[in-house]
Amino acid sequence: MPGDPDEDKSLMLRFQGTGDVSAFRTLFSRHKEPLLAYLRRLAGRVEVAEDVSQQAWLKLLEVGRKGAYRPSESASFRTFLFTLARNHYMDRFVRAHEARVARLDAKVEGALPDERESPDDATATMQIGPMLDAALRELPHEQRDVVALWSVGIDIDTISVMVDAPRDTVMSRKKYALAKLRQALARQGVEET
Amino acid sequence: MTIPDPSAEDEAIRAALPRGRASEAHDTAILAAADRVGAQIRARRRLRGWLAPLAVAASLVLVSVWMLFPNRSTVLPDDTLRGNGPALEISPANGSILARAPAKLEWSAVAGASTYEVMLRDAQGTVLGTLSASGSTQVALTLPAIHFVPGTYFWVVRARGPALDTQLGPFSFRIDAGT
Repeated sequence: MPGDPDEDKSLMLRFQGTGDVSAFRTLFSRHKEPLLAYLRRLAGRVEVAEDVSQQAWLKLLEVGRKGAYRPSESASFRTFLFTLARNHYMDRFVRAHEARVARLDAKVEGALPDERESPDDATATMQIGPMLDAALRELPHEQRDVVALWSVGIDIDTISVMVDAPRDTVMSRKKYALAKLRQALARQGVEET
Repeated sequence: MTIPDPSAEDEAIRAALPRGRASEAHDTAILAAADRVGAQIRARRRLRGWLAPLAVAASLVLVSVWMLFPNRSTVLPDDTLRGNGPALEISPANGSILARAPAKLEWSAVAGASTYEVMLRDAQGTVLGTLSASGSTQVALTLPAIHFVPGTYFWVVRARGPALDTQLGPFSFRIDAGT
């Protein structure tokens, strides 16, 4: 569960200032699962989520080692951490993927490899999880990004800053994303009252 | 499965979305890195703790050496004199002996000064004239405003600026023959 946002900032500053590893471990245990959940939903693949999560935490450690963490009045520690992760994901996977697609498009149309085939171990035991997972993967990246952030409790205004889009755009992406997820559930026999 | 209402439906979707599950390797790698970085930060902190006292000790040693072996040399170039303010170059040179009265008095600029006042006295201390110069570093000494006779003369320059008010001199020159 998320703790007091100010306490998170204090913990990070304590780690940065004194090297108190217990402060970092508290942050890690507090934010590890939500970050992985967000990345899992964003990336659609467990191994990618884990890789990006690891890189984000290592970047955070590097920030602390350099003494470069400056808590913001308007952004929580969680927002800071998620932004590190999202930026890494965008640089490492989305932009790289877009560049690869562009190169392949130039050579062979329609010969793109499907990068989203991995089964989801985390949702295997959940009744509607696999349906949602599949529907989530079908969402455009922008909608998936917003709904993934929203799903781990990031508020709309913060998402707006993180994805660098107006608030109305974020609301719209979330609305359409959830509508598509509802439709997916309906197709699978989940009824609305 | 039945979803009761739209908001609850959103929450149901939120709850049912896939979650990540960190592998042991994921956690181990991060926590091991945290231990390393924490140790580096603590080491750096200990070093900083030593540096401050070391700097103080080094300063004390330098001050002690300076007090034991002070540099008492105050040799100045001929035309560089120490008045009440900073050193400067002047013309005529301090203590110079002249055959005739100087046409003008000159001094080097003083940082921060915008105006100068020059006061000239004779050997008896009589003020012969007070001359002003705005921005310039020289004043002309015109006759008959000042009548020079053989003897010794003293002059001071008062430099003024927005954050400055300092006196340079007194300086002297001697005239051997009246002009």
